[in-house]
Parts: sequence; structure tokens; C-alpha cells
Amino acid sequence: MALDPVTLEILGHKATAAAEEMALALQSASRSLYVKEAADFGVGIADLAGRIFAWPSGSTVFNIDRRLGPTITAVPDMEPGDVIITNDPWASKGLATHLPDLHMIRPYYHKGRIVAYGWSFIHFTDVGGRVPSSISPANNEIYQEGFQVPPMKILNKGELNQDFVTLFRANVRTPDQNMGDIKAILGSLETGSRRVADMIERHGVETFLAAQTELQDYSAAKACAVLRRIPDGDYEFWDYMDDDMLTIHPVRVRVKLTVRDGLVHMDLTGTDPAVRGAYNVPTAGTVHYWLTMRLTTFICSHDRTVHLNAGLYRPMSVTNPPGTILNAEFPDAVGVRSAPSRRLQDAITGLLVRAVPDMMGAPTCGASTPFALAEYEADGTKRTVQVVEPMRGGMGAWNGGDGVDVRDSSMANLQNHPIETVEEEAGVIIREYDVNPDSAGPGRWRGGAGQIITVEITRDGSSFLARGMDRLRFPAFGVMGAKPAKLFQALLNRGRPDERQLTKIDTLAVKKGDTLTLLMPGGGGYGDPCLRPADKVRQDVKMGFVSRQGARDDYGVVIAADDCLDEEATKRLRAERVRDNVHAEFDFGPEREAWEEVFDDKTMCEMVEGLMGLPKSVRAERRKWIFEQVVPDLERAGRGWITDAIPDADAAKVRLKEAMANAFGAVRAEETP
Amino acid sequence: MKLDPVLFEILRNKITAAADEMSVNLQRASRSAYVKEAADFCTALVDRDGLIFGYPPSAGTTFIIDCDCTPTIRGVPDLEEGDVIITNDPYRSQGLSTHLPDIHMLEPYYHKGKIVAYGWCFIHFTDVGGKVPSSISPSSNELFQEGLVIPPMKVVSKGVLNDDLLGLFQANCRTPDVNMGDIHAMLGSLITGRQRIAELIAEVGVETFHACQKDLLDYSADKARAVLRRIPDGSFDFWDFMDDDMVTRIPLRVRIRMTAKDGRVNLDVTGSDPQVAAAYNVPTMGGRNYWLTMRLTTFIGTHDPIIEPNAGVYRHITVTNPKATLFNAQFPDAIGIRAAPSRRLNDALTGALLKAVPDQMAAPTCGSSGAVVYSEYDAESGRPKVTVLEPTRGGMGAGLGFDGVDARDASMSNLRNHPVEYVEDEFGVIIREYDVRTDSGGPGRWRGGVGQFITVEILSDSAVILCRGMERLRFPSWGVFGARPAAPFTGTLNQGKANEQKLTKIDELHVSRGDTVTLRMPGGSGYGDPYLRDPERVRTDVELGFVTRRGAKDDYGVVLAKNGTVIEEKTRRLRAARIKDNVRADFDFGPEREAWEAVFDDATMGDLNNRLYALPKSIRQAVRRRIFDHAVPDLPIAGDGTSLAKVMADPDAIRARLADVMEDVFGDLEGD
Repeated sequence: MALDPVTLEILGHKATAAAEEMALALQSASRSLYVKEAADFGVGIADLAGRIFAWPSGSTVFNIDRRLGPTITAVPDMEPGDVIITNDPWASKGLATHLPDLHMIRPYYHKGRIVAYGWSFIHFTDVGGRVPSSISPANNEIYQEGFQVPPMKILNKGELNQDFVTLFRANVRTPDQNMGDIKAILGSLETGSRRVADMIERHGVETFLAAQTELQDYSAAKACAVLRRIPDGDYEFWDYMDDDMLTIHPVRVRVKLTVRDGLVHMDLTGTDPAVRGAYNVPTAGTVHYWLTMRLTTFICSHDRTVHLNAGLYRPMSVTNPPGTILNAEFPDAVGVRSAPSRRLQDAITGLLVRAVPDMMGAPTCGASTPFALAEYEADGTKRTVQVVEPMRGGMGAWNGGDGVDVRDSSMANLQNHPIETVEEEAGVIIREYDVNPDSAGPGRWRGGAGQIITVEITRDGSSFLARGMDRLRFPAFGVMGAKPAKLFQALLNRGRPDERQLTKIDTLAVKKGDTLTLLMPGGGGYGDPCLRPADKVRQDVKMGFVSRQGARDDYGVVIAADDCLDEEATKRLRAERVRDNVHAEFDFGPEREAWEEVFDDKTMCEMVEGLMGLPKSVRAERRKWIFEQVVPDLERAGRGWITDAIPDADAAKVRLKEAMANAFGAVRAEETP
Repeated sequence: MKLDPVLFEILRNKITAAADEMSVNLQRASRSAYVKEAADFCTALVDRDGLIFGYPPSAGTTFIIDCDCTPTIRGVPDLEEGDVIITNDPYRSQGLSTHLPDIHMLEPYYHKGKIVAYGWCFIHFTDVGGKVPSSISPSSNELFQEGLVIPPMKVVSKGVLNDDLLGLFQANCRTPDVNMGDIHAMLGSLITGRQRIAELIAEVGVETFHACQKDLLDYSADKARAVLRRIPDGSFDFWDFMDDDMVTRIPLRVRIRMTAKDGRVNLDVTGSDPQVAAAYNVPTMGGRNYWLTMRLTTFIGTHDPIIEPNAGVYRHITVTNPKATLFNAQFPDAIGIRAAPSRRLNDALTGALLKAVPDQMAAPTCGSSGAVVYSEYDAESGRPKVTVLEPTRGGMGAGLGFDGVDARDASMSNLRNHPVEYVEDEFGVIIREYDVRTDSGGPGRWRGGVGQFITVEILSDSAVILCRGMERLRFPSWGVFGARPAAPFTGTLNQGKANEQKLTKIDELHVSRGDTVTLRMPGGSGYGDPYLRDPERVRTDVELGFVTRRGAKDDYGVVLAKNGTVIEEKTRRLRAARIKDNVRADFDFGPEREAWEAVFDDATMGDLNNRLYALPKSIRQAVRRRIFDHAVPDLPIAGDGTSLAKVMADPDAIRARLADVMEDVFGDLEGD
């Protein structure tokens, strides 16, 4: 049945409104700060195949691309009043992608048959495991990451599954808060159920069912129209994470995008194998929101009226071989799966800049760092865990505009926590929470600046946890003549005699009086910074986004003592610049250049191929061994530079050749009978 | 009602046989090596008050009798026929389970609609999830890291398995298939118990059955008291040390005061160190517990071998166990290796008993266990595989008139070893050596038992070795009444290779193909002056490989000829030349402990601990660490080869620093 456009439009709005109401119901009922304030949760309504057709506008957009099907089929005996729960990345085939995200699905019935599924998830404060908040980059097995819930019923014909509740409460650090969040989810699913019933009552069940498909068809066509603006061709790009936390060697993600008449195929072959740390993404090898995130924002930026649903992804396909960091396998640790995904999105950003330079901006800061405080309550008995702030960097600039400052919503649209709430609920004082000057990538259009925060600890026996720290070595790259953004920096006791530069944090024990400062990186700039109108730079200085020094060094703009522009000096300075130093397309910064001098694309693709030919149990060790042979003096990001560790690239290349022959040759010899 | 002695005797044997049959059935049905071979499990029959009245004589765990099942039973109020309770939650079961791998089950046995008894069993499971394969890591500092917590709940409800619970259980363990086999073995064993109890009641009637339960406890209580009366009235203090708590290098002290009065005994653990930020805490909930009374269990059982092991044994024993010590863990303290401090406490209790009844107590055992856990990924399925390779054991203590048992410390539990063939078949290892460790027994007139010695070679490309219970790397088992201390625990990675390296306490040791791990278990203590040992016995020790010729000469003053016979003349001369002053009359703790206690003596530690107890728990460990770091900044890692005695060479300076930092710390805190 083909619906008339007016009815379809009405049903589209109603479905969106229903999802929005679910979101509001959830958020107002939740008991955890991370939901109430930062809004790390999602809701939606799915069709009978488990594809999302209704999504709240104004919510976190990128994770629409998810499949409910495997979770639904895992619980075959559904009845009215049942609700499925899971956080299991393997059994749900990538619906849940780390354990703190508890997902629930409720089948919506009409006259005894299922007509849709309500879906909702919350990122819970803690689900047990090795560290408070459950996420640690140093975890190396999913068993360390908390309580695993395979798809099962949490509500059985409307009755709460008490056995589940008993076990769940016993295995999490924050049982009361978590139960509040479970009930908030159940409430939101109930809201969705009523709205679906309303829609069916008004329009009839057949129309409702037809609309589910037609809304997706409509979005698929609109998405295709945007994607057609990318010229047909093959586009390749790669980018790096600093390391996998458990070793100190850069981790590479690689993507090739093949575009043919609005159909895009993403090939992730060549991406590094899964790591021992918690940076693996359980995508089940399918088209998945952690892979398609940048395409989602690309489509939505260029067609603001598109209805948000699973149809967006119909023109997309992937090749994603199992065992890479982007296609994790049981029992890989997956807690910080957002970090490599972010890096993949940066790579896709890069290839889109190449393909359609006017339609794509520079990359965002490439890191987001929710940091949590685990502490004992004042009487020293009970332990609490609280996310202090979901720290954000800046966004990328584009041809015609600066990047958004301190509010990177490229991945998720999390709000910050009001300082008053944080200080009330956790034993900290926020000493500073501001924009991080000079952090943005200098360009004709400036990247957005990152945030800076300094918190002081008020109780002994506390520890910090931070996830998603990255770009301590490789900054967000500059585009079309722009320079790279600044790096991530973390400091303990900044400005004091015992100041210490930190590397990536796993669990950092602190004492009363200590301060932790996080300087978030900025987004990438676009275009030559010496072409930025000098007056704009003056304004940046006035507003605190750029320092005077930065204006001079990065933009060639001289600000006089009276805060006015020194036009003469500026002209002279800008004229003196050596033109050759301006990178035409991309400026990746000295660390990446030094690294790739030895570990170029061809070699890395060979290494990945060699490693993937080995049994999974030895890949990480063998990889580490190779890098240790080639770059024995490398120090952890934040402590030492690649440029110092590779004084002689040619010698390193010789060592690399030997090490690879050794690592892969030996195995081949053994395998020969 | 007191039953007539003949009927009582018959029922006593039937009940014991029922418990034993449960045990045999469980072991046969189990799928895990640690149960099938080592026998880390138990079964029993429990009365309506939650106390054990029937215990299997063939139990591997000989001391887990002093438990109270009541809190677990109360945790599931709506019990019905056909239900089975499951739990591994130390805090909610109030010390029935004392770490998470021990999963306990209780089935109410009904007769005409009324509960007449409970069947009980537990298994130490291979893995219940958590931070490390096998779930037990000394460096865990919260219960949440130690695996899946199962509060008391129904695993079987009116005969139907709880699929939700078991689904979650399987998802959260590294070895779900083996574990499910063990769950079914437990359920089977409970059915056996149910059938035997039903038969018994059919035969003698329920009244007689209940009377017998009570009589059994009374019988054991009387017999136990008769043994305890051998301890003269009075208070006996003793303390001993663990090497450290793994996350710091600071020695950990346990202290006990045993007060006896007319066959009633109180054990007071006040003065023991506070709870640690590691897995060495014991969840007793402040009550009596099998971990605290272990040495009295064996003392009573030794001096009355025909006593019936049941809850009655403990009727005349009480404990004083204040809230802040490591013997009274508070949620969510980690408790995985609660066996290590308990072993040490029972060594201290051994010392107190030696003071009280020197001729009726043996010297302490080796004081350490070293269950070697191995984990690798299955090449095909990618699933983790976990097993105990060997529950490696040390030697036992000697006593007046007998040597210690060699290489088979059954002082805590009677675990068997795993057959080498089985281990090599199932996992990627070769056992290169598995033998007695020469010269490890404490030299004495009666020699301490020697420890075991094992070398494992890794065949897998990537594997993890864990070893829980490693202890006595620094402070050896002490000698008694003239005997010298036993050899400490030592370990070596890649012995004899270019990359050879000393092992200190193992948390997670990543190994790969070709690596070897060698563990040398400590010996038990000797009893009496080794120079008084019959030279012929020393000769036999050398012949059998328990003592080297060198050891015979150095430790026993016995000189052997090339053909192995005793050279009497040289022996006499050597023994006569010894300086008598070096022989300790009572206890020889060895130079490391003596050096430590030259500063950290009983009074100092008592004072420090009283102050630490008074602090909020959140800062107690940080303060303790600050004090010791300041007083002894260069404290070595136990077992790394650095002598503590050397570091402690200037006790006056350390004492001065200690006074400073105590003033600093507690002055500050009180000033707040």
C-alpha cells in the first residue's frame, strides 16, 4: 500500500513525536547525572525487522544505524508485557557495544500481533567489573568490563524478573541509581506503547505498518540524493590513535570508500588487528553506527529535512574483516570502542574533504573524555562513582565557517554537568572550566577551541578514571593549508612544584588537595591561517580563543598593546612567511610524518595482512615485538616524541624489514610440512 | 531425648555414610579437574538450625565444618519443596561462602511437608569471571573485581532449573561448560542426600532422626571439650607475619590471643593488621568461622581421632574479632585469597598451642600454598581455557617424636595433586619436573616435611600463569624448641636460561612458548635441636633425597662418607664444636623477622593498629602506607633477593623516622 504524501508526512511527525516523548519520559525519570544532564541514552521505535523508523529529533543522531533483529530473535517466546534486556555485544550482534549500555526492547502488540518494537538504552553509571564506572582502557577481556546480560526478559508479562534484579543489584557498584534507570527505561517503553496505540487507533494498523516502510524508503532516496553529490571514485584515507594503552605503539585505522552513483561501499581492510586494550569495536561485520557516523552527519548536514531512520543506511555497505579493531570478536575488551570509531570518522572526514572539499569540513578534535571520580563518602564507608564532566574538544572548520568551540557534537550531543551539581554530588571543587586558548587548528577558518578544566580533590582515598583520552601524540589535522590543532594534555597539580604531565589515565589515585587539569584539543582548521582576516584574529584574541602569542605565531597577526591591530607589522610578518611550509591538502603534524617515514601505507597493509594470518592469540604480542625491534626507544604519548625516537628513518626501515621477515617468515616455515 | 548408644552408633554411621555418598557422587559427576582430581569441594547434612551434623570422612576440605547456613536460608524466605538455594556471596551469606569461586548450594529436605534437614555442598569453581582467569588475584581491591556475585536465591524452584540465573551465570564465567557440569554435579549430590535422609526417616521415624541430630552435636561437643581441657587455663599470645599484601611491600601482621578456661577457648584476633586494599581479607562478619578455628579443628581431631566432625566441635569455642581487622572484612573488601592470612593466623594459633601444650602440638606447616593456575585461549573457538595445573603444596611441621609429612601439606585441606598426564593432555604445557624439594624442611631433631618442586614449560604462544596463596618468600616457617627455620618459597622464570629471572609473588604472569616457570614450595618446621637428630635418620634423608650431603653437614652436623655411611668421628667432632648460644630455646623466627621486630615490635604494632582502627576506612591504608614508606623507604619486595635485615641494619634511625611520621600523621589527623 502506498500512502499519500500528506498522510506519510503526518505519520512521520507523529512517530518522531512519540519517540521524543519516550526520550523526555526517560530523562525526567532517570536518577543518574549522566542521563539527567549529559543525556547519554537513546530511544526509538523499530519495525518488525528491528530497523529504526522513529527517532527523536534533537537527540544524539549518529546511532540510528542499529539492528534490533538479533536480540529479538534470541528471545523467541515473546508475549504481551514482555521486555527484553541485554548489554551483550556478541549475542546482540552489535546492538550493545559496551557493557554499561543496557538496552531494552518491548514488542508493541495490536490485537495479539506485534506491530512494532520500542527500544531504549541508557549508559549506566556502573555495571561492576574491574574499575568503578566499568570502563578502563587497560581492560583486556570482556570479563573485566562488568556484568554481562545476554538477551533475556527483564519483564515477563508485566512482572519484573526478580532473579535478574537480585543478581544485577549484587554485581554493580551503584544498585539504587541503576534500578532508577531501569525503571526510567521501562517507563519510556510504556510511553512509546501508548503513542503507538494512539497512532493505530487514528490511522489504522495497515497504514501504520505501511508508514514504517515508506518512511524508510523516503529517507533512503533522500540519502542517496546527497551521496550522489560525491563524484564516483575510490577514496582512501587513514588516521592513527596514539596507542592502545597496554602498548605504546600507534594504532591505525584505514578506510577505502567506493562511490558509485549514490551507493557507497566502505572497505576497512588494512585496519590494525584487535588490540589487547579496551579499544575494540564490536560491529559484527555489519553496517553499523560506529562506522557510518560521519556519513550520517554528512547526509543530515546537506539535507536538513531528512527523516531520521534506518533508511538512511540503505545505500551503504561495508567490507569489514573479522578480527580487526573495527570488528571485534569475543572475548575482546570493548569498553572504549568510541575512540577507534572516532578515528575512523576522522579518516572518513579526510576522504570526503578530498572528494567534495566544499561539502566537508576539517576533522573535529578527535577525542572526548568523560572523566569520573571514585571516592568514599565522607564517613569513609560507602564508595561512589560519578562522572565529573564529559569533557569535549572543538569541532572542525569548513570552507566558509569556523569550527564550533568547546562543544564537539560530532559524535554525541552530550550536555555538560552543571558545576553546582558536580560539586554537590562529588568531593571536588571545579577551579576552572573554560575555553582552552590556542587549542584550535589555525586556519583561514579556525577550528573550534577545546575545553579546559581544573578540579581540586577534597577527600583522601579518591581516584580518577578517564576514558577516551587520545590525540596526545597525533593532533587533528589541518585541511587545505591549515595547521594541525593542539594536542590533548593532562596535568596533575598544574603550576605547583609537584606538577606532573600525565599520559593516558587508567586509574589515577589522588589525595586531598591535588588538582587535575585536562586541556582538551581543538578541531582542525580549514585554509591557510595567514589568509584569515586579521580583524577576526583580533576578535579571537579579545574573546580568549587565541592568545597574543598564538595570533603572532599561528596567524602572523600582531596585536598592539592597546588591543588594536598593528596592521603594518602584520603585513610584514605575513609577507615574510616561507610559502613552502604551507601544506596544500593536509597537514598531519611532525609526529605522523616521522612515523610514516618508516611505517608507510604499503608496509602497514603488509604487516596487517601478515598479522591476520597468525592465530589471534599471538597477534598483539607479535605486533608489539615488531615495533619494539624497529623503534626501541619510543616513549608513551605524552612523555616522548616519535621525532626523537626515530633519528634515522633509513636504519629503522632496515630493521622493520628484518623484523617482519622474522615475524612472518618464521611462522610460514613452521607451517610448511 | 538421648538415644540408646547402639542405635546412636548405627545412625551416626548411616548419616556419615549419606554425607560421604553425596561427596562421592559429586566428585564423579564433576567436570572440572579441581574437583575431580584435587577435590576442592565438600558436602554435608545440615540441621534446621543451619549447623552441620553429618560430614563426609573422605572430604578433601577437612575443616569447613564451622559454618552457619542460617543467613543463607533466611535470605530465601519463601522456600518450598523442590527448591535449591545457591549463593557465593560472602557478605550476604555471612561467611558461609568466603570467596566468589566457592559456590554453595542448600536444599531443604522435607518430610510430610516439613523441613527436617538440609543438604549442603560447595565447589570451588574454575572461574566465575572477574579481573583475571580463575577469578582470584591478590591485587584485586574490591569484591566487584572478583567475579559474579550470587546472593542467596533459588537455582531450582519446585524442581525446575532457574534458566535466567543460569543464563547470566554462563555469560559471566570464562568456563561456562565446565561450570555447568559442576552445577549439575552439585544438584545430583543433593538428590542423593535427599534420598538417603528419606530412607533413614522411613526406617527410624522423624523423631528419632531429629534426636540423633541433636545427640550427634552433643556427642562431639563433649568430646571436643575433653580435648580442649588439655590446654591449661590461661592466655597465650602469638603473632606471625605475611610477607606483604601484594599491593604494598609492608609485612602484614596477624595476632592471636588464645584464652583457655576449663575446656572453653576464646580466640581474640585484636591487634591483627587492618583490612588491606588487596584480596587478603577474610569475611567472617565478626563471628566464629572455619577460617579462624581451623587449627583447633585439627588439634581436636588429632587428639580424638574418633570424634564426629560436626558443628558440636565448636560449641565451647568463642572468638573476639573486632570490625577493623583483616579477619573481619567489610563489604566491598576483596577476599579472594582469604586463605593466606587465615593460614598465617593458624600458624600463630599453632604457636600459642605450642606455648600451652608443647608436647601435644606439632611445629607449624609451610604456611603457604601455591595453586598454579594456567589460562590460554582455545585456538579454534577463541574462548578462554582456565585450569589449576597443580595445587602445589609444601611440607608439614614436625612434632615431638615424629617428622613432618613431606610434600603433602594437609593441614588446611586434603587436596590431591593433578595427574601430570591429565594436565599435559588438556593444556599447552609440559611438566618438566615435579619432585620433592631437597633441604626445604626445617632442620630439627624431628625434621619438618619438605615442599614440592615443579617446573612447567609453556607450549602455547600466549598464556597467563597465576599463583594464588604464594607466601613465605620473606619470613620462613619458624623452628620450634631448638629447630631452625624452614626454607622460604622461591620461584624462577626460565631457570638456567639467558633470560632467567627471580619470581616474586605472581599476580598475572604473561608467558609464551618455551618459557618455564619453576616453583619451590617451602618446607614445614622442625621440632627440637637438629644436632640431636639421630645421624642414621639424617643418612636416610640424604639417601631418599630429602636432605643433601651439604645440608646434612651444615644443618645437622652429620658428615657422610663417599659411600653414604655416617662418619661417626667427624660427626661427633662437628656437633661438639657448635656454639650453643646460637640455639634458641623456644622459637627461631629467622633473621628477617628478627630485624623487622627490632623496630616493629608487639607494643609498637599494637599502638599503631589501635590508631589505624580509629581512622575512617577510606584513608586507613593510605596512612599505613605513608607511615611505613617514611620509616623504611627502601623496603625490598619479598623474594627479590634483597635482605630485609640489611635494610633494617640501623633500627635506631628507623625508630626515629617512625616516631616522626607517627607524630606527623596522627598529629595532623587529630588536629583536623
